[in-house]
Amino acid sequence: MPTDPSLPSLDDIRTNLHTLLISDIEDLDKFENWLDVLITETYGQVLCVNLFIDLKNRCLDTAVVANVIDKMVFAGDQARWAFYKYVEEHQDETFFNHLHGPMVLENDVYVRILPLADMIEYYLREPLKLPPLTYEAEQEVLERFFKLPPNRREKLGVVTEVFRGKMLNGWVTSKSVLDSSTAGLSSNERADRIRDRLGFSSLDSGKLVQIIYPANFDRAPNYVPTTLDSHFGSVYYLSTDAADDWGLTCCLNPLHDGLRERVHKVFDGGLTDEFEMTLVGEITCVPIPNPGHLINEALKRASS
Amino acid sequence: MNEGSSINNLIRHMQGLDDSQLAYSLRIYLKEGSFGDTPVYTILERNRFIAELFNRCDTTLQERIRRVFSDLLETFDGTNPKDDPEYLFYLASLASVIRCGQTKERLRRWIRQGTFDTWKYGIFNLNSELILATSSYDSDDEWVDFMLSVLPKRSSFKESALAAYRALWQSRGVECLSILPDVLLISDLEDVAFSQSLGYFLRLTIDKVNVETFCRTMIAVLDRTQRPVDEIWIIVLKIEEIVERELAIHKGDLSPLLEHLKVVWNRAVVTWQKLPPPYAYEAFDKLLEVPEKDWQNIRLTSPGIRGAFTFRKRHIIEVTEQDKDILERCEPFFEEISYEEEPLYLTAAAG
Repeated sequence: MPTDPSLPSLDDIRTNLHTLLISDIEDLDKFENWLDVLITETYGQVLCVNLFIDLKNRCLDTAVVANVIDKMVFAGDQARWAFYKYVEEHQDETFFNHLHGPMVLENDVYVRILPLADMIEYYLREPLKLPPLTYEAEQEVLERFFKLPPNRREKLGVVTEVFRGKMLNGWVTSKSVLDSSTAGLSSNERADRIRDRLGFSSLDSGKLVQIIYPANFDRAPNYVPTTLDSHFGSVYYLSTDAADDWGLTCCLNPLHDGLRERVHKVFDGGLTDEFEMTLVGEITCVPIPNPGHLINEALKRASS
Repeated sequence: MNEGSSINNLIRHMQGLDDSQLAYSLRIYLKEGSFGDTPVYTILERNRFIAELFNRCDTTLQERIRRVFSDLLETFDGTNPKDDPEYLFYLASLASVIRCGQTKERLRRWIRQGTFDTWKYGIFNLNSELILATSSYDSDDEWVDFMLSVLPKRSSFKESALAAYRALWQSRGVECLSILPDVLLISDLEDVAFSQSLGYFLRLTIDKVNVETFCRTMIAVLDRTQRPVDEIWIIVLKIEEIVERELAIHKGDLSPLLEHLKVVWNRAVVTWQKLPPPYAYEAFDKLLEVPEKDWQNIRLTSPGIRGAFTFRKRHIIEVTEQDKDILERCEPFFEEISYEEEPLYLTAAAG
């Protein structure tokens, strides 16, 4: 994987991560073996850098990370998988561990971006009893929530419970930054651009929607994300400097920056009519994930 | 493959597997999140991922997946701890996408037998999910008859009533209104989740078939309904309540139906007047949704009725001041029931 010569090498990162964690690790042989394998995997290298960023910047407690490594089941291969399998199975202890604690949102509102199909799966399928995973379900939601005259459109208050799915956290971005960074784009260009800037690397078709949260949202505490809030499938997740009180996504396209991100607990009680769902647009182009760009961006953040 | 894989890689990989390997890989993925031995790079839930994958396969591979998928359903064993609700949830979801005749028959058999009536996964009632999955298949008269006549009699109907309405809507359009009286009878419209969902379905039905057809069909359903009088009254009251709660935007257009409710109500009163006192009294108790012995100090949820209680051996029903309609409707009961020692009184309570 090509890297910029001015950036730290992966070997340096590995060594530094080893140094940061060594005093908290119980099973040293397992840890070193795991690091050796991790550094050979494409996205394992990114995980290695992310952990280094989180620990170097004092965003995560070394004991919490060491605990994951000590307790995960590692059989000598699939190092990244072993790490995230433990994270996914122990979300109560791995999520929301950023040492800055809960964040406050001022003069802005949160937006959650997700594919329409996910919107249906998590929020609408149960209350509306939609036929699962079908074209008909998508068409009905498009019609009822977006195409009816405004006074007859359905509202999100109908969502009285939310399906939590495999991850018990919700990722949100800043509406003001999102709006300003996509101003002037057509809806489909906007969908492609947002997909890229949020690093949704496995999303190459379908419609994107956004849930705009109420101002002064306080239904759940929200945090700057760390490596331990991410999961195996989220290959474009990158950690950030502690100086900022937002996370920063990595854009799939090297020409653009990422977008702000935070993560909040999945909250009880569903949504209300104060939450608003709007259609972003249709994804029209296949993303071209660029692992070289991803690792370079990670190393840049590690060196800052 | 190693390290991890995404949809296109997996499709290529699947083409090289025989049917038993394919079945094993699908099963392991749905249970554990790795495809055989290969973890999968995706942000999607497992059922969503397999649906995406299926939609992108060529027809030959799709046909093999259909065959293998119906085998997975056939071998699902609810007594095996490993065949857990999460796995059944994924199978039920995918049954709407990976469709074949054997799958349809298996789903129907499970629903008929009530095999998973009490199963839940997260917020999902799995019997409802199975019913919804069947709505992606052709329906025949025998199945519709089962949905309309057998399902509502089951004790578990409350959990699957909305799914049954949706499934009938998907397959038979406005005919789904035939099940509405049963849905209303078991419903608690104070339950916001239930009434909002039902309200959504009714708005959907009205918008799709137009309000005139909706009223005409609903009136026909009510006119052919043969039920005890207390059930008729409850259905009438609950229709009025759901209109008030959820169909305000259509209320003016629903006046033919609302007018007809009075006819249905009065027809039931005539029937009720012919009942001997014990049965008449029992019917009235049922209308109030509470047996006589429990009347004391009970607050009721029926629209317009604040409470019912005994006071100095007199049964008193308290109605809201503004609800003159309820008052008028209750009057015939008190005129007709003649218990010398326990006369019934009706009061219009303040405020």
